[in-house]
Amino acid sequence: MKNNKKSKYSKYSKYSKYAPPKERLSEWKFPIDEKKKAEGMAAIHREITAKKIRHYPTFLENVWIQVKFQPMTHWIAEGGLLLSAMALMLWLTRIGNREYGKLMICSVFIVFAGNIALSSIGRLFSWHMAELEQTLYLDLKQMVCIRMLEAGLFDLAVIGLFMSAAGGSDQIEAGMYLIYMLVPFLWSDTLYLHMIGYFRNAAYGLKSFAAGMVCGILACFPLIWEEAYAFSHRPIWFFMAAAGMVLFICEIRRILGKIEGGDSVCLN
Amino acid sequence: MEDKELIRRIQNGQKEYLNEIAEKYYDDIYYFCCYQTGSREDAYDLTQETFLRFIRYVEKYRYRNLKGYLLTIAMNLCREYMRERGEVRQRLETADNQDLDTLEDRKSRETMNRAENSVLLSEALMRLTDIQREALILHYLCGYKNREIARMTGAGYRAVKSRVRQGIEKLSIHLDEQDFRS
Repeated sequence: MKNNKKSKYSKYSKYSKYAPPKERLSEWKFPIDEKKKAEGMAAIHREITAKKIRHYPTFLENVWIQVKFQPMTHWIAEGGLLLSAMALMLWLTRIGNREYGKLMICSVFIVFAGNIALSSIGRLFSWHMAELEQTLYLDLKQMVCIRMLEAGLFDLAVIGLFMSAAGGSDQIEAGMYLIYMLVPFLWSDTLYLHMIGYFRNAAYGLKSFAAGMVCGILACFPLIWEEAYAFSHRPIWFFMAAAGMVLFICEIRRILGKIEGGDSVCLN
Repeated sequence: MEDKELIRRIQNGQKEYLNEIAEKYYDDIYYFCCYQTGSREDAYDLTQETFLRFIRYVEKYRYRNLKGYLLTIAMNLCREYMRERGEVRQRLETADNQDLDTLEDRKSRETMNRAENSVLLSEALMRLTDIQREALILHYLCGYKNREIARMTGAGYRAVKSRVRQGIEKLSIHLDEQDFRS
């Protein structure tokens, strides 16, 4: 049907002696007015003379700069957490068939690990950061994005470890296992991100730590609600996963928006 | 020197290589602007503005396809120009008498034919829609594939393919009409 449909112009184009192939079109280039071209080139040359070339670091250079300025304690904490995750993974493979117990341990661990990885972002919301940003030509938005990316990669590594050790058994399929772990993780991270915006800098470390603990403890709710992982509750988990994802994205947008606005978050 | 090397040197502070880029691509950008807007005079300004914009943001440019990048800047400038002009489309000025005289003086029949053909082509091109003309120029004059044009213009591959096909059919009709008139 489609092939039989003819364009109203097709009968002309077929016989047109001016049907323009590429070669024909290029032959129709007329001579350029050299005087006007020279004037244009002179203006371009003036712009080039006045131009000052500045170095704009690439994405990888930016990441490397951020990595260099992370404190040693941060790397020790993340390294320790990764090692603990590996040890936990080994232990989980030995304890046998207690799937729901494993799941609960993994989801609580990933929540705390996620919050610890995110804690470095809290420092970027310290008092006077906006003035520092102006004075030192920092790009807070970029710094937050890179640190969140780093935290995200760390979380992925931990989730990957747990999934390889405990995910996908007879009792719980791999996809469902991932959702059971992601829901507390997403909600807790969102809440924690929201709170570190208020507790600002290292002087408020205790409050920040307490916030991380509270958010992490919320992930232990299956201990209280035994039926949480029941098959009939799966639609609730799906809904919570979708809502958590939306809220998490909204929270990131809020943080970036606040940095853009500046005064409400960083200036005092 | 290859474009990639030119860009690398410029971004390392050797700004004199910007002149080389301007020399290399001036004509291509000029012809694009000329056929896209239908104005020989304004095409000089648009070409100049294309290079000025490129120079302004050259540090942030990540090399992929330099000519394509310059044509994209020119394309946006031409769109802006056409929008400002609204529905009133300027026809390409017919080769002015002085030009023709010079050509006649030189007794260069071939050059004269080319000049006449360029006017006919421009007039026919100006009767197409903006997006058809844009696609046609990029495809036939600049030699880009439909997929590359789709990437440059932000349109879908099928849309570009259809613009090129319909554009060339319309162009053939308009050129036939001109041929009949002359």
